[in-house]
Amino acid sequence: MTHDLDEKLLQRIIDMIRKCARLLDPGEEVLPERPLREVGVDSFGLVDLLVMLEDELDIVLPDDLLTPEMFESAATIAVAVTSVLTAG
Amino acid sequence: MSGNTTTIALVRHAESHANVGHILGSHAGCTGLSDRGREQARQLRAALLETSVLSNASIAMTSRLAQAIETYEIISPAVGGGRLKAKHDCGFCDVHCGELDGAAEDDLVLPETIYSPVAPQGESWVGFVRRATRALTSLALAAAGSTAVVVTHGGVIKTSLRAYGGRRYHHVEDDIGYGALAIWEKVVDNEWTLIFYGESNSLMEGIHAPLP
Repeated sequence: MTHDLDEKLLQRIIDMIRKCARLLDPGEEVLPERPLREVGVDSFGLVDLLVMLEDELDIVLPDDLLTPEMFESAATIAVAVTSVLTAG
Repeated sequence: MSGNTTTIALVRHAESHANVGHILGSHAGCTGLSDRGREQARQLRAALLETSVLSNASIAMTSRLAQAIETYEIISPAVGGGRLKAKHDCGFCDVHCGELDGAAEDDLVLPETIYSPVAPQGESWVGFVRRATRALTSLALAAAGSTAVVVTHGGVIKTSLRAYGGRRYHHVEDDIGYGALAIWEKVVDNEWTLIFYGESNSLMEGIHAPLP
């Protein structure tokens, strides 16, 4: 799934996830498909991540894109972000 | 509390008719304060006048709901020397209830997920917290080096614990009551500190930093 995604975008998203994750050890790897709940992104962390994504990528993620499936992992977030970037 | 210090006071609106009648009061359903709510607001005004906590405020805002606007009207003599008109910003509103605005609270079915709107045309929890976070962040920038007061809602004040406090205030779980307030302070580039969180009568005991 991740081979079609922009690697730089994916890495930026992973870096943002690191800032919102409570359960990551320093240096611990975050694979693109790793569930966010496993790394300790709680509901408020998820909103932090959402605001960070919009600010850093200068996008607005429409409400209908915001689903549990979208916030499953870095890879699923990258798919949604890519759809917004290409539509805009 | 000026110059290098930014102070933001978030006042929870006083008790409203919607609160008493268990009505979902958004833009249409909120019809202003109950008698008890007006008394709560007067008590808050007295505490603010006594302590001069907001006498140097230069920014005043409210949500767009009548309960918040009316609360500000009552406390305004104690804010910024009594000459400060409030701007109304939807960013500080409570959750928008969409088609359930004005309906009974019993009609509300808890959404399936935090992404699901509370009603058609309404907001989800995620959408609400995103909006409130953005309003709080914008206010912090606009108020840099000065004092701001916002009359808003419990959910927005809860959101400030995260938006301003990061994870340092996760242990603060109690809602503050109607007409109570949270006061945040930030000195230069330091972190935000919650210097007051409670009822108006506790203001008389002095501003202190009980948390964390």
